[in-house]
Amino acid sequence: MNKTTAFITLIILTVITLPIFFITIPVFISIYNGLVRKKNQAEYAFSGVDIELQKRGELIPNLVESVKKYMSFEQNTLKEIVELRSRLTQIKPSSAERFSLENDLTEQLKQLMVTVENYPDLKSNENMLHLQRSLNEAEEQISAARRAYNASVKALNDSIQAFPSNLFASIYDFTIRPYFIAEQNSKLAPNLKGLFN
Amino acid sequence: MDKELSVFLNEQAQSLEKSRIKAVKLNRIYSIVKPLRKLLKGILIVVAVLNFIIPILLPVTITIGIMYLLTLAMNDPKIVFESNLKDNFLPAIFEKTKPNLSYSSYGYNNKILQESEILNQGFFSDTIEIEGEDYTKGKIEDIDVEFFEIKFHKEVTNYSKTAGGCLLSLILIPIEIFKNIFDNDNEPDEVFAGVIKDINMFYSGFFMYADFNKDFRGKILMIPKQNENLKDKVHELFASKSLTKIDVENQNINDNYSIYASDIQTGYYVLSQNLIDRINILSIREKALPIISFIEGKIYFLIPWKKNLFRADIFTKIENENYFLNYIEEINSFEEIVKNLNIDRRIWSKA
Repeated sequence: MNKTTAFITLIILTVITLPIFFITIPVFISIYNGLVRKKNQAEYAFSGVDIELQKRGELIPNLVESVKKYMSFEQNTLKEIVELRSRLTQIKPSSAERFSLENDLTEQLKQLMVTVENYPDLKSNENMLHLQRSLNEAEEQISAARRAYNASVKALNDSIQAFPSNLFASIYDFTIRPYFIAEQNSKLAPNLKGLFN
Repeated sequence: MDKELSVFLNEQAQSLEKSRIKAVKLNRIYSIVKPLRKLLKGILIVVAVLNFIIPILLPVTITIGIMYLLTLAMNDPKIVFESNLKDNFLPAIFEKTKPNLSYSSYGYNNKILQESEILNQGFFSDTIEIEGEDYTKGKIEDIDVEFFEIKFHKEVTNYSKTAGGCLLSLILIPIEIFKNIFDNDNEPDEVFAGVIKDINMFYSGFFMYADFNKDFRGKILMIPKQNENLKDKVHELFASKSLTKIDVENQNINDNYSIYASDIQTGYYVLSQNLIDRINILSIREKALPIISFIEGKIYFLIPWKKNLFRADIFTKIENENYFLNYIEEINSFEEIVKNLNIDRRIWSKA
């Protein structure tokens, strides 16, 4: 619905209902405030995702240091992880590319953890165990943050599209937000080929 | 079943069979005492009422009263037998089969029940009495757990007794008026019995507490919509919102539950999709909706059920150790709940 149509519809509704239902103005205020709250909730949830991704990023240097002593044959994987992290620290946090890179990093980390299974000394190393636990915890928190964000976005999008809050959404430029969806490569299981040789 | 356990259970079976035979003999006597008790109770009430009109009946009233009290001295042998099994045999069986769990026949952990915040729900606000039994405590795969059967009781107006009381009052009022004509004291006598309330059980279930497999702060409550009443809805509207309502990805759960979390992200962290699916499967299998709360790293779980754990029947002969297989299965079912909810899965998250 475009802004002008929404504005005209709202004026007509107000003129019709105000003399009969004196609560029209408070109801309209309540609808507008509801939209604002939902928008803020979605932004807050988005910042939650950002925080968890940053926490995971902070684990990477320690992980690489622990692993590279043992995994001399996996230098390519380690190099890619270091490169991805480097690019992520330079990129704008709210850019579209950022989440694509974060998803790539998730895939590389998953693959690395599978490969760790081939190195018994590394697998039993206490620092490595602690890192694996921390990474797993970080991934769980990222997943929770994404689900929380999607739930907030759903509530906001429902209000933006449903009547009569869609009138206010059009007038005050509230826009539909996209959900977090899994990228194609993240839907594939990690490659376990080397594990059972 | 290993040989040592088999020998032990066989010994227990022989001992319990002696107890069962004694209970069967006592039950024959009890089958006479029980109806006699009811008859004496009825006669006592009639004679007690008549005593107001014919005071000379007092010795008769007292005699019938004493006879009635004597019949009360005999307990139901079926209940005595079951108590004997739970007090004397089951703890030993637990010790042999599940040394990490301890058992007592009656009791519940009130502290844990209060911590669960399940009792704060409007549905339980009328509770005046709580009864717990089959209290089991210990560790399952290094996880602290506690289980017990629990019954909640509340006062319910007994309309038929109240009507009976009113009728009795109508009979007594003219008697009192007549009595007061010749009575010198000016004290009014109570004749109206008032509203008569009974204590009835309104909820019976199985409660479980366990250390959850994730560390978290805050709380998440999963309340079945059927257990939410007007008090909860009013409280939700007017109380300060410390809890936010969330929806999960399983539509069946969303349809049947109201889920509240102190923090949305923590709510989704605790309620993983895997856990939600497991709760859904459990509720479908048990045909009941559990009330679940997650508070500061612990899970509290209350599922309504009418089963009676560790039942004993005096008419079932105890031939050998196989008699106890059902009980061992019931003990194993405690572990099944922990495994079904994946609470024992602690590979990474919680050391």
